[in-house]
Amino acid sequence: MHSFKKILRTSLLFLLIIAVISVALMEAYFRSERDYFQDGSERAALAGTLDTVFLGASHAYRAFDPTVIDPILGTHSYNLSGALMSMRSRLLLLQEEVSRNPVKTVVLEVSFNTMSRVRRNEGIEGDLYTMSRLDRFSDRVSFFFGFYFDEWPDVYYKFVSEGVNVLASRIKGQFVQKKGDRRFGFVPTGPGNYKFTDNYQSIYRTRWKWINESVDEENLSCLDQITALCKEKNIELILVTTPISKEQLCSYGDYDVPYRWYCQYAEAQGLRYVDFNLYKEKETLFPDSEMFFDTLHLNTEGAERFSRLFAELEQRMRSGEDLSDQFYDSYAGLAETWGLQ
Amino acid sequence: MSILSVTFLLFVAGLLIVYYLVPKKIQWCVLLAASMLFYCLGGWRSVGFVIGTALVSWACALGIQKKADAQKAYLKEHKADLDKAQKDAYKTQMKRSRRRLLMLCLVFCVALLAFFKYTRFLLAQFGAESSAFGIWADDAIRLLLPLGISFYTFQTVGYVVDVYWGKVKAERNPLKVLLFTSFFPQITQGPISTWSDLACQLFAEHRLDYTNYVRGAERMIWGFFKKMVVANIVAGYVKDVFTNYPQYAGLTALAGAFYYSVQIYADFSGYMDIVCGLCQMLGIRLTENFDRPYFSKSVAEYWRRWHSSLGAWFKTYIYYPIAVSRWNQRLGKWAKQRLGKAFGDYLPATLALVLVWFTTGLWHGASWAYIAWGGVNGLFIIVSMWMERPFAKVKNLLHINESAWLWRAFQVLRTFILVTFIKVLPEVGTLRQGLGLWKRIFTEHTIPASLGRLLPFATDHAAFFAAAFGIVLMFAVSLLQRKGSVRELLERRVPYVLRLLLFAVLFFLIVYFGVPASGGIGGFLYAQF
Repeated sequence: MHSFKKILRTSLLFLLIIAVISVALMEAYFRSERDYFQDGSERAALAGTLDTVFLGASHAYRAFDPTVIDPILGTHSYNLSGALMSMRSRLLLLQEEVSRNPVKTVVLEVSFNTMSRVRRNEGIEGDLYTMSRLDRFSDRVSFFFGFYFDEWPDVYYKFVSEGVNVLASRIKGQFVQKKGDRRFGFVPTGPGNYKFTDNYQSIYRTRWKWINESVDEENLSCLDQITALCKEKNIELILVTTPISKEQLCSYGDYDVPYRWYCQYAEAQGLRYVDFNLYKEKETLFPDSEMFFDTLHLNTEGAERFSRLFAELEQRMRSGEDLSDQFYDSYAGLAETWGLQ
Repeated sequence: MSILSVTFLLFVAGLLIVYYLVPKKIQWCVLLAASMLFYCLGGWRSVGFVIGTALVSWACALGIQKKADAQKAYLKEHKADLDKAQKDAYKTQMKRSRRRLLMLCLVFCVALLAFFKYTRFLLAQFGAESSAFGIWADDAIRLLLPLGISFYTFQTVGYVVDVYWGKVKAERNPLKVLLFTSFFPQITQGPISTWSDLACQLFAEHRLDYTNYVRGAERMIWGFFKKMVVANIVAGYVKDVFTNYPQYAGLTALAGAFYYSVQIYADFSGYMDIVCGLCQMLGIRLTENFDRPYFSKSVAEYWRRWHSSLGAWFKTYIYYPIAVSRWNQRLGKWAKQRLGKAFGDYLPATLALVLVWFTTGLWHGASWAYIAWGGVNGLFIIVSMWMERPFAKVKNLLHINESAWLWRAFQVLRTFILVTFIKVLPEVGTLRQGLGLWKRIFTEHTIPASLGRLLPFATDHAAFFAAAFGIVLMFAVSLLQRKGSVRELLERRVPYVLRLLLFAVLFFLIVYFGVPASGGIGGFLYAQF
């Protein structure tokens, strides 16, 4: 018994030392220079004022600019999106904001692979970004346990290594707190240097990528929970597909599969769904080489233009105007107008 | 299940809890269950082979024991009735039947080992592609290759031979023999224990002991540090040099060879520290495999201090039986009469050593490179044995003081260089490539203008310095070990909390440097043998 007590004391003390150092490194990590890691405190300061939130992956992170949208709609919005953000992360961030803000509108970005992406296969990166956006230590700890068990060492390693790197750069006096051009969660990309093609016919003919049709159960469950939460709190939930480049649209197989799925889901749940790739003026407003950073993400100018378009159309829809004639019915119809075969 | 995984640590934590909670009489059953679980997680398809080997060994050993007991009882009972000739005839008859059982066991175990390890090599020698023999000769061998077959085969063979020689009593319980065969800390890379060393500890009752627990845990952390920080970082450099040696200058190739010596020591001894530490936490003292081998003064001494359990096995079960066999002794006498005293003294031992090093080479790998590696090792040991007397005369003539530290340092350095050259021979790839690296080391001796040119592979400076720090630390620990256990020294000299902090620092070094280095090079070198 004496040995047992001594062993217990030594083990606990050792674990305590490890835990204290780990927490210190984790805090250093969360205060490092990544854009994402700095908005937890900003959102905490805005608590009680936000009435609109944008949720999504990198398409949305680079698309919804609250500083453009708010003056038009008269809202106080925040862009909660982040690269590789899983549906579960969107749910958790939404829960956090809904619990402390009078949220009236949630704009949920859904793209061609949002529902078919499998978090298990994508690795920890997206969830790490989300974790770093959580403001409270306890929330991060509980989020940590949401990672798959075999991912724990990688997550822990990420904390330790990044934390040590930040501490080392601080000790060397080389640490720079990167304060990018952040606008309530929206971070502009800059112009980008992707070389877009104009030979769409050739891409369309040889399109080799096909959209995975199966909907991941975990994604569906999280989407259902987001819908239920919005209904419970009397929040309007709008599903939005942000514009992607024409080159990207030509290179995939059948965008109508996810499009139809979102239409049916929205109809069944009584939600609005807007796909901006099917907006008839899309090609005129968002030419690839001028408005896109790469094939999937809008550049700064594109994001500003899209944010304005989104806000204006939203305003008109809220006033009861029917805008369905401004959108194509399907991607097949869109391809037809492009003359692609 | 990889030993370098969180799953393994949780497995160990669970085992420790259950092991010390259950009644002490069934602690060995917990070890058996854990070993089977560990084995199944490593490849359930081959679990039948380890069970089969254990059962055959158990049955043969028991049969041998029964015959030996029966012989003893018969002779005791008929002490007065039998004359010497009758007794001798009976003994011979019984010995023959015991030997049949021993041979049965040896053939079974060695045939399995040979099938899995050497089929492809043998087929290649006869110009046959293994794939021509269908799935069984290629994919199935790879698929079914039992985890640790080289290690557990030698261990069980040693047990049955010991029973045959009457050194130990055969175990009646087959499950106990199965535990001895499959004890998970040692199944993948040894040490190869004898029944008399290990069994009494496996089946003894163990109390939770603070000193064992703490020292075991400390040793495990040290082992993880050696493997993950030193061996795995250095492994990247070694791989680079071994792959690209034709493009590198001689000195860079030489540095790569020395790094390999560091890597294999940190890798293998790191593993031993992990498993010995784990066993110490369980109250079990595992046979030690290393005794600061790079401080050896000759190749023969090096092999007594490096992987010593394997060396002891070869010595006990191959070297001695051959060296003292009747035909070999007769050969020695013949050589003494015809060729002189030196021949008479050394020839039997030389023949035994040739066989030992041939089999040692084959045991390490089924390739000509490993056979050559065994041959070169054997050659150095045999030559130094034959030259012992002439060398002694030369040393006398030159008035060399063998106890002077400078002479000892020279011997240590010479041995380290020799074993490094021998070690790399089979590791580059084929024998031709191994010889190619040797050649490269002795060509193009331009002195690099900077450390970066000398070690072009060390691009990550932080990792390089971490490995260098680890190497210096390992060297310092080895020096301190001359005076006794470093952990005991720490206990005496370093305050409790500071000691915990020290191991916490090691823990974070492992996470920071070891985890990325272990990404692609997670396995242990000796597991391939």
